[in-house]
Amino acid sequence: MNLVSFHEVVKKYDTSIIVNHLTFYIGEGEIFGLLGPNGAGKSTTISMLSGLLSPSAGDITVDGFSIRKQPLEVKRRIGLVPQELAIYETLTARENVTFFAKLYGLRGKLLRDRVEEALQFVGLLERAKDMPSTFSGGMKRRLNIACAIMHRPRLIIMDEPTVGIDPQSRNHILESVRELNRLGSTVIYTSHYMEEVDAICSRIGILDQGKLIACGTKEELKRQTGQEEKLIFDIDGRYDAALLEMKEHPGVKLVEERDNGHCLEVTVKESSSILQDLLFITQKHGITLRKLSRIEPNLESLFLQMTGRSLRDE
Amino acid sequence: MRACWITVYYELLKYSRMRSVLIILIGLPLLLILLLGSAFDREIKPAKVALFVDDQGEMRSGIDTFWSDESIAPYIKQLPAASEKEVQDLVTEGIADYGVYIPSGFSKRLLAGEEATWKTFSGRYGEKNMAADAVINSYMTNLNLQLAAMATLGPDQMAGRSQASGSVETKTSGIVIGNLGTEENQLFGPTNSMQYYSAAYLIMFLLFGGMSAAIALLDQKESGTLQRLYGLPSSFGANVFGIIVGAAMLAALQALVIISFTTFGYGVDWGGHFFWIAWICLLTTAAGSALAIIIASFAKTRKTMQTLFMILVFVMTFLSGGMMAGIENMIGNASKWTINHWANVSLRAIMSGSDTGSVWHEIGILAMIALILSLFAVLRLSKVVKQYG
Repeated sequence: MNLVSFHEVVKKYDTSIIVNHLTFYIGEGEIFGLLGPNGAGKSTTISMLSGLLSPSAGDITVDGFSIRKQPLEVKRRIGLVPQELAIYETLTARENVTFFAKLYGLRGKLLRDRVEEALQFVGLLERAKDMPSTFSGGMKRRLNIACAIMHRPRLIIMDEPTVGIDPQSRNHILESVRELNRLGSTVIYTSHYMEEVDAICSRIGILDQGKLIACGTKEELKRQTGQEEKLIFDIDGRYDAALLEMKEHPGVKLVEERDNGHCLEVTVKESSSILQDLLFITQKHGITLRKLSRIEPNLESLFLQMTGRSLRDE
Repeated sequence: MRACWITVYYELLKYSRMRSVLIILIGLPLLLILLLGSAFDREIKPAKVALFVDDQGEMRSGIDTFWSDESIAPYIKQLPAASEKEVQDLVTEGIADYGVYIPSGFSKRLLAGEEATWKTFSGRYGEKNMAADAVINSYMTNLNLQLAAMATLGPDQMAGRSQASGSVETKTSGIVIGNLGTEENQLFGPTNSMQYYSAAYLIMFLLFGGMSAAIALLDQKESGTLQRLYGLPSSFGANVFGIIVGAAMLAALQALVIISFTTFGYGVDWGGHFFWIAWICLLTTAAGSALAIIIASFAKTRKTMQTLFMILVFVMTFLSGGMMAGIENMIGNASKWTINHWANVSLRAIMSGSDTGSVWHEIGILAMIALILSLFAVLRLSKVVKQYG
């Protein structure tokens, strides 16, 4: 069942089109990764989904409610974790969460319970009485998340939630995202860190110049782009004859020498079907194989191939 | 509405933790008022005396002549009352500095040779009580002398003496009330220097207080909290209004502290009409907030907005005579184009116990300025609060 649907969504500023006829869906229970270089229309897309911007054309629905016609219903179902640390430095952690919880309409015991729950969830319950000015960057990021989840939203939008924090806090946040997903929330996650998206997202959409150029699971994207794998052979001994024979194999696209002939890098379409053949060739030509490794296509290379640009170089 | 009050509460909570803001908005004006007020304070202003003459006897015309005589005007300003209780109330509420009730049988008892007295009510300011006491004692002393002379000369002289009493009684030249000031003291008009600067700095700092709303909005826009508020299911308008009201309530607190401190600490007489004073403060804060929001809508950064607004408030304060009394006489009508002028004139009129009708004229103009600026600010507000176009 789809929780979020984008239908022919367009956002224009004067003559420039920032988001260009965007149509895709996000299913309930997914962790959906939204990737794109700066200026791709990622933030605009998220802003339209969370009601901060109105689409110039098209519509977005969340749980069946239109952002154009029923924006309050949509906002009730969303928890937005903005890229900025949208917290008040002169309110304690508990006061920050309580303030936003009250504006979500929570009150009484439910309010107190949910605030405690959110602080507990992000690991800040023991620091609930402290001001964010005494927190590390990672703790502030966690408080930023707590302010968006205390009302148990069905959809959580996280816009670059791990920018500028230490690895420990990043792991804590990634684990929190998984846990929120396990508890039933659908998550939209944007990041410049491919490995994060790679690690936690069940589906990925890649935006470039306002258009969705690819969308699907990592495997689907790989298939869409025809991405290749690499087999790295660390060897000892003469390899000329083996190299020639490998090049002639129909499953091999390219063989390159590396490290003064101590390493052969073999590019193949699909490694599992020809690995046995390649091992046989090395054995036949008396090559001692010290180490064999396989490099799968990652999101970075997928992104590079699709957009012609590296995500972090933007 | 609930969202608005929640926002107001948390705004005030945030302000209460910003020590620098509290020091600048509340501590600084008190210090400036004390320094400037003390430097210029060298004269005693007339005491406002609430008066009810119940006596309709033969001495009545003489009493009326005494109270309306111009020679006591520098020391006493009369506030007519309709009963003894109203006299008492006017003094209790601080509207009058001193009260006098002349009972109905005063003439009769006096002429019968019995003991006859006026009932007086002292107010909160010692110097004003002394001035009023001195004038009244002088009258009573003269009256006693006349009665003694009358008893000596015989009842035939009664009518003539009674007639002459008006002129004798009002010879108050013997009363010395220390007006040690030079001509420059007249610059403060009907108020003393402490009152003058208290009003001027209250208004100036209320305008600065109004800037707090624009600063809070710009800060929250920059930090992303405003964007977060926009993404909530509560009314964004109510949240923004709550932020503005929070700043306005800080200004109200500022006004309360300044008026209380100057009244009890420095002995400033605010004239007692606190409802009107509250209105003036409210309108000034509204005008200041609106002006700051308008500037913020054109300025690209918070720093630019603050600089422009502060320059504007200083210029307005200067032109209205808040930094140099009497500047209005040199620059003509320019001061009338400032918010400060109308607020200051209103406050000073209340302080000096002017006729209520005339104060409304100034308050009306102030209200018009606040209304026009507020309408323009509402039109420009989206430029301040919206993250995107």
